[in-house]
Amino acid sequence: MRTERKLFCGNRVVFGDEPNSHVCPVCLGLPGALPTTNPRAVELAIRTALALDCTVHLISVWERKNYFYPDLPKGYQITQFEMPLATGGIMKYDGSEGEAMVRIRRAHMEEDAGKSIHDRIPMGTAVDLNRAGTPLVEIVTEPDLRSPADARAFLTTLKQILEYADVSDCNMEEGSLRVDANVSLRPAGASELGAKTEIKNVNSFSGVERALEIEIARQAEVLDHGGTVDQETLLWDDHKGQLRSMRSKEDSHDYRYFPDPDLPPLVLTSSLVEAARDCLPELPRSRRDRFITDYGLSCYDAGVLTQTIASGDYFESVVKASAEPKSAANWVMGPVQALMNERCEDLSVFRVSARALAELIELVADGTVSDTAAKKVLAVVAEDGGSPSSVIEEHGLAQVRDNSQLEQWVQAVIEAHPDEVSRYQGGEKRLIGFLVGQVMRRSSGTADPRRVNAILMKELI
Amino acid sequence: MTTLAKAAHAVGAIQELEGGRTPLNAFLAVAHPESLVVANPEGLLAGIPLAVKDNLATTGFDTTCGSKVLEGYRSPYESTVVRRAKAAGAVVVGKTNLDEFAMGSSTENSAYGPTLNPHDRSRVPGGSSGGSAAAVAAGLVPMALGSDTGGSVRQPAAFCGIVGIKPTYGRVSRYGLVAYASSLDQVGTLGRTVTDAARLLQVVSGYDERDATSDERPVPDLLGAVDQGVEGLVVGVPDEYLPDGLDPALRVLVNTALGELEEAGAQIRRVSLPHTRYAIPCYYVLAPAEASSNLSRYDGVRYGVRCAEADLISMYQATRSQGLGIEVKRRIMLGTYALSAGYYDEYYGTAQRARRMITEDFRSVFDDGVDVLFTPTSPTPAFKIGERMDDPIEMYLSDVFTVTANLAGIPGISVPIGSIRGLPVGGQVLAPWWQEDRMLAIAGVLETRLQGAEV
Amino acid sequence: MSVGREHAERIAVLARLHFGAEELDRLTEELNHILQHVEALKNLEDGPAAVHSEEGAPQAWQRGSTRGSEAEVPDTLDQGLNEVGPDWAEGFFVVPPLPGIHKDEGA
Repeated sequence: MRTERKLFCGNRVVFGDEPNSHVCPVCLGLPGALPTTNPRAVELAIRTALALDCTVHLISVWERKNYFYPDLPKGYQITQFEMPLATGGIMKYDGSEGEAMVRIRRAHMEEDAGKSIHDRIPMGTAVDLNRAGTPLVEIVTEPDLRSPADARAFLTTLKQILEYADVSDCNMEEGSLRVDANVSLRPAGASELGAKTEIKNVNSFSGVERALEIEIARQAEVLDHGGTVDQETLLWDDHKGQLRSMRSKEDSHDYRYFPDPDLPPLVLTSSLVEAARDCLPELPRSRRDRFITDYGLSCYDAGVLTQTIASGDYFESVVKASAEPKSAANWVMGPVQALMNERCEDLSVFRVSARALAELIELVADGTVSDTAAKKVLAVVAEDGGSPSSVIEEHGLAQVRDNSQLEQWVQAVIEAHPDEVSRYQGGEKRLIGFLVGQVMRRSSGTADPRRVNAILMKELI
Repeated sequence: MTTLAKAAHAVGAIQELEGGRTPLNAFLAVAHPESLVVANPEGLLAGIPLAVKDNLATTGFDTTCGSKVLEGYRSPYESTVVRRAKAAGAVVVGKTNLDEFAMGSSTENSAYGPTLNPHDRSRVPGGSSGGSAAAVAAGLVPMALGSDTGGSVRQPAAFCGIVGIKPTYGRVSRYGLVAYASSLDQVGTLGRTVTDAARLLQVVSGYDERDATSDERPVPDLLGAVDQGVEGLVVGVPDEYLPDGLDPALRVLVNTALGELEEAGAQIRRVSLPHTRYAIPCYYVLAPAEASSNLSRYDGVRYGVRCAEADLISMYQATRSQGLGIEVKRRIMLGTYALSAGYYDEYYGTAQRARRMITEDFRSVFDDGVDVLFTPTSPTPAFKIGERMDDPIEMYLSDVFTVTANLAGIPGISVPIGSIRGLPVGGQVLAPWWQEDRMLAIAGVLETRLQGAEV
Repeated sequence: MSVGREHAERIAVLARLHFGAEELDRLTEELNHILQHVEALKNLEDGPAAVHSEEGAPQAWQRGSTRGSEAEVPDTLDQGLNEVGPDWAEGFFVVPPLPGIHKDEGA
């Protein structure tokens, strides 16, 4: 979760800093240290649960999950087991066969472990506890997903929702989103689920999809030959594109959960929950649907524009600054996005304000500037700021509509290209494009191409 | 005497006794005379030499918890109670011996040897805060900090003829108290007199934001309470704490004490706490269960002793097997079993039910007009060293009168009420939650009228 | 309910403890002896459980929540971790490798 501090102590949550530089007695598990709960983490967790339409329980209980591992300082993880923060949610997403739904079984809070690095020190494992104690929300779905592609689509939507809710960076490479996938097969029509395997260590959505495809194929092979699938944990190796079994010798899975005696049960008030609900923005799907009805956009366009909360906000601001929705959509999805990509910027630093873009769109609509020239204007404003109209003036980018000037250029082009002219008049009508282009060049792109086209056609009959 | 003089004198006396021919082995570490400092010459504890049980984290001394696994461990942070004591002017003169990780009733489970009872060196001082009790009883320090999970402050106080207080659960911060059983542990105070023990408790009590189980209620005037008298107080005597088989000499002392309270204006009433018989089985499921989890951190990874091995699992096993003593291992095994899959409901679950009922017993009695309860602290005075080491159950039964207060979370105090065959005997006063003042008033009267055991 | 030797071995593994054969036998016996006494709990009547009674519980338990603010000042460490840790290199705690497989178990 995107909190400033850890779940049970005041250390900062930091990614990539000097090892063991953000630790204290509590997250080190020193003798005598005690946990205290971070209220902001609770708030974000509630928001997460609400964004997934879960029931938030006013009473939930911290429990200890006991096991030994070098990056688990206390020898137990503080988590929620029997009485989690939230249960029973639902999430819609666009699956391979249209709109689909996944039920959310539960969402609970827990603390993260530190990091064990196996290849840094010869003959040893290096342990960095900066990450130990970072607040996490674990979201568990019901087994409602029916294909690897759906799994990927679900994750994409989940990430989008969590970004909208501003609860996490959801970055798989950085580890702020982690996925464990459970998969099983059963004969068509059977109601009982087959034995499942758990896939861990994937670090991208495409990895999840690939790993699932491979495992499904493997299970199918086993079952087709009359064998049985062993319940086990498999680790994904992204380099090799393979899954390998994580068989460990001891029966390590008796976690001996019991309520943590160092922490009171988490008791929330309904006003706290409602306050968290109020902090939720309009969620992606709702916003997308609203864009379709309010602005007449296609489902695809509305989807692209609501990809991030920032792009949706930007688009709406452009429309509210009186741009026509369809144009606004095209501009935002097209030239604006392309320019931002080129400049490696996102909307948080992009200098073309919604108002400026709306102005530019107006100026194209009323013919003041051509479409091509407008893109140049966009680039200038993105670099230097300023208003589109002043940029047009300063750079002389206004579209020339004056017929006498246009006729002059057209004449000059006709005289310069007698070959093409006679070929055109001989039947090669496509050459009009070439001739218009020549006029555009002579006018440094400022001629109104439609008028030029009309004049040329008139001249060359 | 200058403010540092008392502490310097104490250090000298400790070194002389512990370095001499008949040491008590009460101290595991003693301050260097040059390092003594009084942080607050105006404080409530200004200049007072203080002994601290070695399961409380200190930065100026190692914290071994009486275990090999923490031999040489210097805590990088200090426990709240020691911080507060120092801020009030106390001078920590040393860390005292204890049963390893506070698990025991005799201080014989220390990896650093047993502590002897100053009244009779062939006997135990009680446990697990035996070192602290012996230090106070021997006159080396007037006050000491201990910890009480099942009686570990009250019982040694009784065995050594001094005063020992366990506050209400949540009254005193546990931040820096090395956890044994988190829902039962409390820091307790020991002193030569009720006033001394109360003074120390006054200083260390109160909410600590670093301990989520500490309470925000204001601390009453504990010092003032000692002299407030007991006129009109109803003292309940639970049948279950004076069973038929009780030592008749002990019964006499209890009755004498009750007689004094009556003369001082209190009313005596017989009561019953019917679930008392479940207390020991309940405690010996819950405490080891929590302990088995609390002690998982002693794995040789980040601090403490490590037994080098080629692979991780072997390292864990060797470190813990060699570093932890037999009683600790016994309780870890017991606790792990009680929490394990398939056994949780039967053991841990049932013990939690018993705990609630024991607590309800106290609540109904207190709701019924009883102000405090009075019982013997322990069924016997100090036993001989080695006497109970063969049978863990025998050892566990010495806690039979003290564990209920930890299970319910109510405060308790042990005051000397006489002696049996030359050995000190303690009487225990239990009060309702948050009413340490009432219990101190009773203790104060008993102390004045009974003169206590000779130190 | 009594614990067999094999079961005791499994418990020891869970607790990362290792015992010699004789020691384990003795321990198993002691455990069973203690458990016999714990059996007394079987006679307890039915009823609800509670970790802390409402009245006696610290107020925090009734308020039931979190520390006052997100930004609690972490307690400072008086000495470097390199002095505390049994094996320390390049800023990391170092432990011997797991037998066999390398894994990143994660939370």
